[in-house]
Amino acid sequence: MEAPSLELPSKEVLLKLYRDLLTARRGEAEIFAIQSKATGRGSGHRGPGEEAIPIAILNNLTETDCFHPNFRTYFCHFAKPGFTLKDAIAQSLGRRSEHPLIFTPELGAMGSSGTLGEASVRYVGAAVANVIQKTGDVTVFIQGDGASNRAPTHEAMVVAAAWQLPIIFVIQNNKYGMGTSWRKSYNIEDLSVRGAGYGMPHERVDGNDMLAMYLVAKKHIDRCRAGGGPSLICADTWRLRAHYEGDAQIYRPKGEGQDWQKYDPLPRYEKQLRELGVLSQEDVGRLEAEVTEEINTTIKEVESMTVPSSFEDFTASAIDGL
Amino acid sequence: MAEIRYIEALNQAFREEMRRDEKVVMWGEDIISMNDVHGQTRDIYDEFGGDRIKDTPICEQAIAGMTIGAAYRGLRPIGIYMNAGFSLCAFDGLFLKLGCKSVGRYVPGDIPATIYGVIAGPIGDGDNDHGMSPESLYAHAPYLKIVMPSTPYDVKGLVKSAIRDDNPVMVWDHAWNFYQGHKDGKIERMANVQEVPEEEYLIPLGKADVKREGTDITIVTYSFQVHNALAAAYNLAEEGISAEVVDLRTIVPLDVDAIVDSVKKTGRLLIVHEAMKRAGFAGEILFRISEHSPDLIPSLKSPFRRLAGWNLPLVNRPELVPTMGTIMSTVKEMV
Ligand SMILES: Cc1ncc(C[n+]2csc(CCOP(=O)(O)OP(=O)(O)O)c2C)c(N)n1
Ligand SMILES: [Mg+2]
Repeated sequence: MEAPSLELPSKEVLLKLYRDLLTARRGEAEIFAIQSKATGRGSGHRGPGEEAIPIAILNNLTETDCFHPNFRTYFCHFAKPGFTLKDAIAQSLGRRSEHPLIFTPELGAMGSSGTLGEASVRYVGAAVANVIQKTGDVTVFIQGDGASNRAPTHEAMVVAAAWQLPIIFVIQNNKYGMGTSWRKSYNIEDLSVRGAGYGMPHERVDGNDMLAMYLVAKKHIDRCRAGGGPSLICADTWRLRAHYEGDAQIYRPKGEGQDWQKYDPLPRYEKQLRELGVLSQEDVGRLEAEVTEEINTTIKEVESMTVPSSFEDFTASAIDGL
Repeated sequence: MAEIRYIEALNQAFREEMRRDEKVVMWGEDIISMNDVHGQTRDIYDEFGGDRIKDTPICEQAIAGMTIGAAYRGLRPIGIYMNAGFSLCAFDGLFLKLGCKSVGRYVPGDIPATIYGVIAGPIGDGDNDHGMSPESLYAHAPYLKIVMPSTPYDVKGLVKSAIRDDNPVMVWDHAWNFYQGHKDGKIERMANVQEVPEEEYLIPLGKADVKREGTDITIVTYSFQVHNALAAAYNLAEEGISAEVVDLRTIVPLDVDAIVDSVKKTGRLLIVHEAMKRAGFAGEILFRISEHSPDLIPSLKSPFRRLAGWNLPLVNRPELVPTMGTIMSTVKEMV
């Protein structure tokens, strides 16, 4: 897949994307280390290698645009204007920041769904509300290839297309849904072609190529913002790790997809930037140090926050006895 | 005061709330093109235009999701289901996301969403999926208020309150209310008409209404069965039995005080609902009475009973649900 021939973003944007990608990678790893230490075992769904997709998208959104991440890369949500690294770390460590990443509707975050797929129709509702209230906001809804099979996604796309809503659906296609591979789930390889069935523009992109991903995201988001209606992007990537940490991965041959390591968006993008002359070896070292420092300070800050008693939240809202 | 039909009262409720608050919007299947089949949404498109009322494709899950998502983003939407049974296509959205407010590991605050749908009952379209009563399924969720009206006056005041509520309310409306009602001991076509005030009024959610006073037995019921109960009570009075009919109007919140007051007075309790008996709402009512007044149930003059739909799919067989006749015979066995 080639990068679309669009104008290169400014140096400032290129470097911001790099810094965000680096922050996502290092931050998520740090959080995972803390969580493992606390529980004595690694757990959680990790997404290193897939971050370029949300990061590229989030760098095209405004504070009030709506956005739903795939659960595996929720941490990247800090890159949305209005949210901060502190919000992402607070959520990861069970603290309550001013703007909970998972649910701050005024910043376009309206929750995820434990039942994968369902959130798609809620974000369509947000898109409808944005149109009726003439806010001008766009909505980007990312979910995994597995979740994208579910019925609500179909209904979401039917309505979005029929009403020409300002919403972009993105499939973060890492080829697996838990232990079930793409081979068992699809009779197509390019999931973006599904868009044709709804009458939506659709595009496949290498989701591990930050530059391509950014340009495709920008093209679709600009188009959507200008009133062009919904579209579907399928961003190909690879789940480098297990479904959850500690999952023995009996469902796939050992080492399957290890060659994807060489498509890891972080070193790949770094190389691109150096070839473009935007980033030097010294810059890389400096940014690593800066990002590490920022993550560590923020973690300390978050750890000193009190753990909220969510029980009171629950009981306060009971309607007819407990 | 003008005497109006049930559907007209409901239509007035929708239109008054849409006039009052431009954030009130509604969507559902054929709510413009066929006025929601029974006329509930008549003239709304003409008055308010396409931003405020929308016909959707056939997409029950999207109707739920859109209602929730739009409520998060500042609107006060009403999601309309052509039939209550169809809402079960969207059980995830309605039960888990609206009813349990789940959005991840976090409980959001207000969700000013209303869900409206029609129970066709045992004839109507003639199958279970159109006809069934889903209220017990939804009553299991912590955050769903559930409104089940029976008269023109009530539906107007209750639906207006439902729309204004800052949290999820479901209105499951029985189609038989649209076309028939009790009159002088009979169920008659077009009898569900009532004088409804021209000036605005609201009926708070969670307040039962004693539709007929009596001294020998309390019949606790809601929705269209109120009409069967009232017709039965009328006839029972001719036979010397004085039955009190308590219309719950909302099953969540449940007006336990009103039920207990009535049962204390009459000393007998019959609960009537159209939904299937097993795990039906009657069991919940009984427990709530017992938790509220532990001595009341043991002191009853005869064992409490329930009349409910058979534990069978509701396929075009009116005798599968309580009728005026079965209510009368059950009361006579109890008194
Ligand atoms: C409705 C539903 N079915 C099953 C699951 C269990 N489950 C959790 S994650 C997952 C895999 C999801 O795959 P995909 O959407 O591709 O996301 P990925 O894990 O690859 O990021 C499954 C099946 C669920 N959470 N919800
Ligand atoms: Mg996947």
